[in-house]
Amino acid sequence: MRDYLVKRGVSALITLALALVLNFFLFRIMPGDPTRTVVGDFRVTPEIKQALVHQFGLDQPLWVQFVLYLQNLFVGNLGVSFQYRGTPVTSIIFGRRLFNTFILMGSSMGVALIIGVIIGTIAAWKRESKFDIGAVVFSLVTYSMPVFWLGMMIILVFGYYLDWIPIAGTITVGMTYSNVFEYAADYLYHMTGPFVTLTLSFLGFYFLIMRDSILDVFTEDYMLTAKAKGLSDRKILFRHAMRNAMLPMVSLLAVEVTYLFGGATMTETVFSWYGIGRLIYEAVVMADYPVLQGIFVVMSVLVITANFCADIVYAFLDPRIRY
Amino acid sequence: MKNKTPVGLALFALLLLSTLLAIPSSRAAWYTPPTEELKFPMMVLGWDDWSVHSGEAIAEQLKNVGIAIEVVPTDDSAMYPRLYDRDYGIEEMSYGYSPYPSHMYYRFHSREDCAQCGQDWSFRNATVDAVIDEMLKTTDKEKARELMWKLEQMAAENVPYIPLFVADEYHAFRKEWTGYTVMPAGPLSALNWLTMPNIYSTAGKKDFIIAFNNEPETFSPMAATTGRSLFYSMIVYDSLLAFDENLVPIPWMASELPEVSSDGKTMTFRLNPNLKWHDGQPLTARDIVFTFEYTVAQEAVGSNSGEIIKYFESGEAVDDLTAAIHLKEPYVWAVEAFGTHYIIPEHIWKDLNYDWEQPLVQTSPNVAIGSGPFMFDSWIPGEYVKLVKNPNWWMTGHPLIDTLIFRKIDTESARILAIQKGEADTERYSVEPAFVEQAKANPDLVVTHTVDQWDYLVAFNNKSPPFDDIWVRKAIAYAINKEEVVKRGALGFGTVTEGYCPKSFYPFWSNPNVLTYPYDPEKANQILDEQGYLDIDGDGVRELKSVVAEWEQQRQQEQQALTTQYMVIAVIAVIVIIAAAYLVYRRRKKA
Repeated sequence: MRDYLVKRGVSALITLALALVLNFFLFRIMPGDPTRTVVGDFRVTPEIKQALVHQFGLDQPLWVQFVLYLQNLFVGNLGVSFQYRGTPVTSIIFGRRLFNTFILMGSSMGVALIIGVIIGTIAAWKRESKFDIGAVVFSLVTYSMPVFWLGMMIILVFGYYLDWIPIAGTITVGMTYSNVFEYAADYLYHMTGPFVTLTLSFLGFYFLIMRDSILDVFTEDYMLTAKAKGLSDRKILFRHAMRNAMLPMVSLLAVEVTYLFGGATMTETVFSWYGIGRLIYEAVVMADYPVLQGIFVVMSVLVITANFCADIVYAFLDPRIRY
Repeated sequence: MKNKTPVGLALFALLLLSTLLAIPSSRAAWYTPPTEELKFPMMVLGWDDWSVHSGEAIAEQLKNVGIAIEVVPTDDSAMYPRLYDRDYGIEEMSYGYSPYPSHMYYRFHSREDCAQCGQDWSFRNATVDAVIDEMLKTTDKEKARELMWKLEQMAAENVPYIPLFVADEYHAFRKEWTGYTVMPAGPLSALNWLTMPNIYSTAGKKDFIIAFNNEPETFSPMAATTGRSLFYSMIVYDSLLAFDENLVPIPWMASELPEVSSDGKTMTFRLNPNLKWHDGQPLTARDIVFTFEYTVAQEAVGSNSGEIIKYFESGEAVDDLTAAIHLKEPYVWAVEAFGTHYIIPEHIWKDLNYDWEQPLVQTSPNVAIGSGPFMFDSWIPGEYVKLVKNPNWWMTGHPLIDTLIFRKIDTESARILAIQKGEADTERYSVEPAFVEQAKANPDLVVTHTVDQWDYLVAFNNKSPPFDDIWVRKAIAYAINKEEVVKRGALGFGTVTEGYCPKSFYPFWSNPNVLTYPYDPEKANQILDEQGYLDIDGDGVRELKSVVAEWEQQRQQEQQALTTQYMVIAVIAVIVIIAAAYLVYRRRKKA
């Protein structure tokens, strides 16, 4: 077991190092001119543009920029943003945006996962029943629906015509709160739209994966053994089938954990939800290298850690896995 | 599974190597001038539907005069580097106008023919340069206008690019709001000083909410470069002068337009009495001088700063209400440029370095001190910026509203819904064309209409054949039906521009008798015929002059060769006939 952990750990570290190096070059081969996109006004003279290029450090040779990047990374400095005129990237990422994205993605993914796993298990158990067919059709429809369209429809119907939910933002404009609970209530009220949209869009995926992997498990020999031992249906289903069917779910979650951080650009844009997904989009459009780099550094750390954890969880879930 | 690491390592190394190799080659030449016929790709801006659809309309129109154009929608990250490298032949997209026509310098002077400079079209003409230089030095507006007319005429004669249209500006207000000023660039823009202090609600509402597509990227008047941050700076930090609805400067913080000395190198601004900063400190001429000194000393990168840094020499506060500004040389738009620079308080900024890495400090209540009609109150990142009325503003009784909120709503569909629902009162930028009819049909909204700053044009690389031939440029100018381009490209939401300094945006500066190119495909065909661009292979596309000339030469040579052949045949025939006649004659004689 210790050998296994050390091996996994070293390989995770190597991957991380390579990802950090790649991260630097990835955005610089994008054709583009940060000064042109940052400057939206036409009275800006060439001298001013030169000054901007100098401020951005883009007049330095590429390898100097690279060494600076590594040095700064080592002390946890992700640089300053171009489009937000020198705001440190760490304060852009680790602030309201990250909080908003975490809350929204965490809750909608969590709820979708729980509902998806439960419904998936039941549907597989009652295969080809009306419930199963209904659930499959429903999840195929929500899964294949474009998420931005769903979001816009929810805004139009529930936000505009029915006036149940707000159209944009995370809090009411200009409102002052007397305590935290008032703030939380206002926040959750604003989250309703994006939360429902995202839950619906994630639900189908988890459901289908869970249903398929339970059906797979049903054909295994140990299921027959369990039945022969005279175990109850409930025990067979939840103790034996579900535990084994969770394996693909774990590796799936290890990959999906990036969403927690990366957010859902489409949904965030449609609901003007101030999060990381929207930030990535803006940073790409504006050729804001430091912000992109920062996000991807955090993301690669997150994915690699999550995969490392998934490897460990695997070993516990399935006694056969030992390297 | 066991030996994943080395394989992964190798893969990463390969990827890294390939990206490194890709860096130099990403700037390899894209465009090759045509060698056979008048057929070339035209770059348009991929994300801008208007640019793309206008390009398609133009391509169809040019087909009628035997020019084949392939419209290539290009991402701006690829387009601008190509423009800077002059790696293109022809392109079509929107540029922009300032409140005064400084683009007539940036777009035509040879000094601006460089990468990342004013013009992307390699236009160089010494006579034009001389006129521009003279105009830039002329401080008398009437005389400057005469030179501007001359310049516009020369530009039209040379056609380095073809102006198409300016985008229309539509603004939707909830109907209870009134008192705003509709002028070029719209009722809410960084060129419009008049709307915010004067807007009021007939229903007695005291807070006004503007939906923004994004928040100001900076709150520093010294670093503002986009419409959002300039708009913020304009209403929190006041300026000496403002523009009226014809973009003519009017007194603002200054009690009158400045006196300009006869050599044009000194401007004297007189201030309104009793001007105060938001923190109650008096605003004096010293602050005015300080602002310009600071801009130059710190090389601030805001939009207005370029001209200040270029022309400011020194300033002196003659007394508390009089500031004299000395320029290095006279400049035609010095009054406008210095007059509309946002004024900052010396007592706060004298210890502040213009540290571009700390601009958000500007939102700390102690630093966000201006003298404009509104004062900074609070900012919730990603949600809204709240401003409140400045009760001590110099225009007594104004502004008429108490609170002004910039609310961030990311998409146009949500902004329109928010305005219709009353969650917002209007939006910062123009209503997008797809929503104009919907907004007009809503009884709760009033939609205003004027021209926007964005001008669409077809530009040529004036150094690259065949566009180095002025006749090709002229023929294309005649062959484009601009009305049709507006109809198809901008769904009709544009105003055709005939001149280079159009009347719709610059009523004062525009030349009423400038040379224009009315739509006339026959004339275009005639020009191309006369100039020797002929369609010799009959495929509907004209061949290049050189190809036609070569073809002509070849035909002559062939004709010559043919003539020689005919001569030889004729000679042989004559000889044969004579010989035959002789033979016949001899045989007859023998018989």
